[in-house]
Amino acid sequence: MVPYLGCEHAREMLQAFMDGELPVGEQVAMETHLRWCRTCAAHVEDLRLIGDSLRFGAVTPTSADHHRELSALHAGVLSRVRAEHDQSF
Amino acid sequence: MKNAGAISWSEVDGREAALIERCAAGDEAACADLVATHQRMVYNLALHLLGDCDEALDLSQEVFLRVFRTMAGFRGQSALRTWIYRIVVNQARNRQRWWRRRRRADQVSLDAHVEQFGDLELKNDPSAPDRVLVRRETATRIWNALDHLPFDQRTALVLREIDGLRYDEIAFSLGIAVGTVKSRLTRARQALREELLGMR
Repeated sequence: MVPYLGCEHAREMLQAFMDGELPVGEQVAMETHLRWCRTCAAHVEDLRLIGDSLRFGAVTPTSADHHRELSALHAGVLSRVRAEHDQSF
Repeated sequence: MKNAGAISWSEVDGREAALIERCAAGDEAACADLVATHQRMVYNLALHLLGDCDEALDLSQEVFLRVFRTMAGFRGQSALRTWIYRIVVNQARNRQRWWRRRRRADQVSLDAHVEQFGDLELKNDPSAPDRVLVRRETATRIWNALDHLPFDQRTALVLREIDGLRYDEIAFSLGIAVGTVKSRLTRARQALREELLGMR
């Protein structure tokens, strides 16, 4: 049987619930709570929207420019590693 | 050949441990392998924290050099990836103090990102165009609000929502307790939620 979870306690656990950081028992209790509590469910939806918006707006570069930048990074690092290595001898 | 030392490697798998030991010994091929494996993660995090491509590229180079210079001191206390995250965050924290002041007047907008890097997977989005526009507008507002958060709150949220790190990994990356991670995430999300509520 899933233990009763009141709003006050549920609100303290909303974030950890969203982040998948709750123990299984509390995760299940939260899911049950969210089925009947519209206020907490709306809060969860807001947190989801924030996460989705951050991932949507995150840079996921696929352009040739990005590949060039990563190539430049790779070459630049190795060149400096080589120079430091040479200097140490 | 130098030895990386007596390491417990509790958080590091065998292949990674061997790679670390080779890097610590100055093996160039191993260094190239490590950079190739982690460069996208390092560059993207630097870009999300600083908001400027050139700064992110420069910081990423410094991060890898720091990784190689301090590799012999790595004790497997975390996964290599998390250890590198920590170095990115420390370097970005030092740099953003002056960089953000300079950047404030010339923030990188989502539209500028799109122009520079191409569409944000919109081409494959089956949603109606107006829905896409709303989503895009929301993302822009949320990112602008994120940009106004204190560095440590912003970083915690980026590591959680974009990089998908667990609380204990964020705690290690920021050098703070898990409880502090939770409170920073709470404050950051509360601020962004207020922005969201203001849009309705």
